[in-house]
Amino acid sequence: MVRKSPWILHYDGSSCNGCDIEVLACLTPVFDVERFGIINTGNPKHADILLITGSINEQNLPVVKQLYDQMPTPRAVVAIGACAATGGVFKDCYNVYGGVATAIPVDVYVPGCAARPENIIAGVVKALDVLENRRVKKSKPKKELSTRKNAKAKTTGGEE
Amino acid sequence: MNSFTLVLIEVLLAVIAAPIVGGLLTGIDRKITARMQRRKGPPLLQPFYDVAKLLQKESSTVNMFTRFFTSFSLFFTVLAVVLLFIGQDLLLCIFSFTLAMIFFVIMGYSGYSPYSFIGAERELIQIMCYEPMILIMAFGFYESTGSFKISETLVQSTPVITKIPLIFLGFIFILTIKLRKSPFDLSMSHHAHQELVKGITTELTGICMAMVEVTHWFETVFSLALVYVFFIWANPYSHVIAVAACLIAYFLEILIDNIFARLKWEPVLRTSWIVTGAASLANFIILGLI
Amino acid sequence: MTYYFMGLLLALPILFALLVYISKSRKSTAVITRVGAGAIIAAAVAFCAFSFYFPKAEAVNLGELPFLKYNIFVIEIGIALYLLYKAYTEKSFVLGALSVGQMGFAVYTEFFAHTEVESETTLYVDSLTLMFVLIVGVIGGLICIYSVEYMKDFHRHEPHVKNRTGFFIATMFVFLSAMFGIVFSNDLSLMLMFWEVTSLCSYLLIGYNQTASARKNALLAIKINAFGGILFAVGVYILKLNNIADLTTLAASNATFAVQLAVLLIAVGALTKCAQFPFSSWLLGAMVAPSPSSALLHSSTMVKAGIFLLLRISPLLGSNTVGTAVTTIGGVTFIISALMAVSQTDSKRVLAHSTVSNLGLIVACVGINTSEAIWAAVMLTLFHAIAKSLLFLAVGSATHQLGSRDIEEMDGLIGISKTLTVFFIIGIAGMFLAPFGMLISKWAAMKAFLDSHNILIVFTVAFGSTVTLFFWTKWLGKLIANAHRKPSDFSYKMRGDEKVSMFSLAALVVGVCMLHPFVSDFFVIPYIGQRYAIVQGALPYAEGGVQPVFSAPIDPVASWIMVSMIGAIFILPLILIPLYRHFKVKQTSVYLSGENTGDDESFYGSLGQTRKVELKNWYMQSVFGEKFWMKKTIYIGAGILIAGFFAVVGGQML
Repeated sequence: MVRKSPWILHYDGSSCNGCDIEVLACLTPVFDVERFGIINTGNPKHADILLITGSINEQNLPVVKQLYDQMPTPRAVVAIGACAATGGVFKDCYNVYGGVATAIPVDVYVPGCAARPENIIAGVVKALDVLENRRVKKSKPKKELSTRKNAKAKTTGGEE
Repeated sequence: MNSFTLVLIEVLLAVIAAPIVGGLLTGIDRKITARMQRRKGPPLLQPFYDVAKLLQKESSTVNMFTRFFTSFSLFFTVLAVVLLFIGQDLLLCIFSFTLAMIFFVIMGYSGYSPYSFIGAERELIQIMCYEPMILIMAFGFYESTGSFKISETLVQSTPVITKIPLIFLGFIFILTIKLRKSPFDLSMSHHAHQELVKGITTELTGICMAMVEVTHWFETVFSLALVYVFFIWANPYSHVIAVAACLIAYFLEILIDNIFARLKWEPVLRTSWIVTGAASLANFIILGLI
Repeated sequence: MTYYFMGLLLALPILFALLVYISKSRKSTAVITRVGAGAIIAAAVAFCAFSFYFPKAEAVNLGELPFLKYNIFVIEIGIALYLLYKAYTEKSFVLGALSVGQMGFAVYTEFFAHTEVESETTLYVDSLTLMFVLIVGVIGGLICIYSVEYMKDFHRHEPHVKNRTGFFIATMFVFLSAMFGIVFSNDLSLMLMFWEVTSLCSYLLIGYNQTASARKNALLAIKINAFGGILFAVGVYILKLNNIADLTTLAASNATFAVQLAVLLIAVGALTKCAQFPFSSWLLGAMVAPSPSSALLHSSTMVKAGIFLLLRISPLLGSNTVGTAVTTIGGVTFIISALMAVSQTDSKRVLAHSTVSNLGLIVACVGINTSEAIWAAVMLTLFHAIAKSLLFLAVGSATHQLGSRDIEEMDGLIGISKTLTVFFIIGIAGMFLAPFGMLISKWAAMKAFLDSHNILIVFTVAFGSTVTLFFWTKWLGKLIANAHRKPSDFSYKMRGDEKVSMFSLAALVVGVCMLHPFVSDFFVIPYIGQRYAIVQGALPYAEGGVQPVFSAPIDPVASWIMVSMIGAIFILPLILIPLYRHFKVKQTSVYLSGENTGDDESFYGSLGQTRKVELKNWYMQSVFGEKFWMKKTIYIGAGILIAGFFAVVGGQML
């Protein structure tokens, strides 16, 4: 049933805000993602899919990890744009770790700089398949919450 | 058909049909809202898809008591609807409903989460805004039918609305608060991105959130059923009129939702109390209560 | 037999008061108090049980006993002299003037006024009396038990206060006796004497701490109550001039001008006792007293003496001038006190405002004086007495456990004492929540108000109930808020006595709600039947008169639905707990925008600082502030009273 009602949490990392604006563009009447039952909840506890634009840096690493921790399973992560994939133009900055995969496991990459709304919607739809598969296999709940203190100590591990 | 069977049918109607109708109304709401914004909107059955999904999701909670409060809230909302459908005492329905709302607020308080805590506080203010009007509405029924019993309306020669039209207008005003529509959606909103995240329901996941959604369907049915009883009298065709009135009222609420921006708590409290006071005072004068 | 029971109930508390007062060791005080309180509870219950099986002898005439009259005189002069002495030591001119006035008036009526009228019946017992006997005896006894160990901790917490536990408990016992006296008296002079004794007890208990604020507030309380006492005395004098000396005669008499004036004066006297506007300030000040005395005097019994008196004179209220004035004051007090309660963080002050507010509702019901309204008033009195005393006791224990009585601190209570939190929840639920007691009676009150066509009261009850709901739920939320905080280093444990008395009261809150149809059948309906029988001059039902036709204002089906709703609240968890044990959920962290430090109570602020999450309730001072309302209440109340007075006097002149 998650196919018909994917709720989304959108997080903007270290970026130029280009992809960010494209994500919001999806909500406008032109693209109207609510057609597919997609709602931008702004709340990890309600979300099924985490959309991340921008790269991971020193500041947002623990935040991204914690948001991901707080999402109930099954969940999926979609990295949007070049920065979210690899770090993009920010890759060599002193505070940037790289793409989203340096913090949490990513399921779908949406290319582009900035990514187009059509592609973003396509990415979400791809993530739905991932969610559907995951619902069948139950994942183990994590015990400890990622915070600033312990975020860096933990290595990135896959969901499965 | 004896009265017991009738009551049984009414109870079943309340327990089974009410959530279906409530869900459909929510679906219609989303569809109409989308059309008003020149969007296509989600499918009509979207609310049911949402709840089905929530039931499949992992359930987590920040406080082990939370799910008791959500269950209680659902239970007493259903009870309120059942009591209303079997034509019991109107005040009793209101008390049951208020009890459900209080459990809902307590659910928001439990857990020490800033967003749901503030949401709970605002929900409480909303209750304070609409509760006097609901009580006065019951008083108006008592004045015009001579009893708090809802079944009494069915033996009247004229509908209650003819006697308490101003109270009805006041009730429509606070219905906006009750259905959590803008400009009065302080505690939680159906729309994404507000300053309180998801307000009072921020911390709910899975089954708890599903229960809250279903509670909300019952709430919608309860609110509209209160509109309904304004329009029925001894004539069996009056039910058609009453259904039409409910649909018009619901459409009006959707319209209001889409053309107003949200208010702060003080104007909400002030306007709702002033409207309540003025409308009901004027109506009681007409009724000759003074 | 009734006679002996009354004697027993009056004498037992005095006896134990003496024993407690002279007992030297702490241990013997504790034992005597427990035994005494137990004996009083037993006697009160036995008396009621007896009266149900032998509902005959109701009126007792002590008119032949000559010493009674002089006893009354001596006690009244004694109280006045004591107050005069206090006025001297406290340098209060007003109190001095009041006590001189009281004394002068007593002397005048005794020696110079020629009022030879004797009351027909000195003492009188009906089902209302029985209900009050149960309230005073059972709740009073439980509170006395509570105070035994409470006072120990009280003095540990307040080392600067001189330990006078013996005196404290003895005064409470004396008070109980005086309270029994009030509810037994039919003779007005006798009642007036007991009335003054309760005022004096209240003064002594409020001033127990002997701090500056305690003394100031005690003085305020006695000033207002002495003023009310004088009005009461003048009213009684006027009645005696008109050959009325007891309440049953008064209830059956015609409302002539003199009677109306006297009833107004007595009603105002009663309003001072139950702290209605403009006299409400003393009850707020009385909160400096230790919690048991607040529970006993200022919520469950003494303030109810005012209600009792109003109920007794209620046949002369109703739609006339005096009745309208009383109803209006009650209604206004109900809503404005509720508004002020919203703005308070001090739990005892919230309770005080709420007490004043609820008393206002009861007063409004009595003022309306229809059968339904009286039914509502009596039921409200009962439910309020139980639930409110439980809450006061719970606040007392919480103060010791948390070191503060601020509601904002109470979110930690559940981690310290689950039992106490449950007591709080039951008490608060009993005060306002739907299927519980107060709401059952409020329901009847709403009906009565509508039938009386008094639009002001209809509005106050709609808005006032809602505001009441707001501040109680807010408090309830605070109690439940932080259920997963770890117990901190508090070493305080709730004592056995406290647990016993609070548990009994909590059981009573739930039990009386569940059984309210029976309570109504046993106490309230016979009372209302008798009341109208007296007014119409017919024989009471118990003496072979006609069966009262009045039935409870709430439809029995609806009433039982209410009861099953309470049942559901207790049964649902029994279904849900096994269900939830099967469907496990994960306990997770709170959403703090991804900056939760992991303990759910703090987050990373700017520059990585750790900041504490602090959640406070809304108090909305701009709308509900005490500052805004307090002064106005005095003007409003005084305005209504003066208008009522002029209406009575003017009505005569026209």
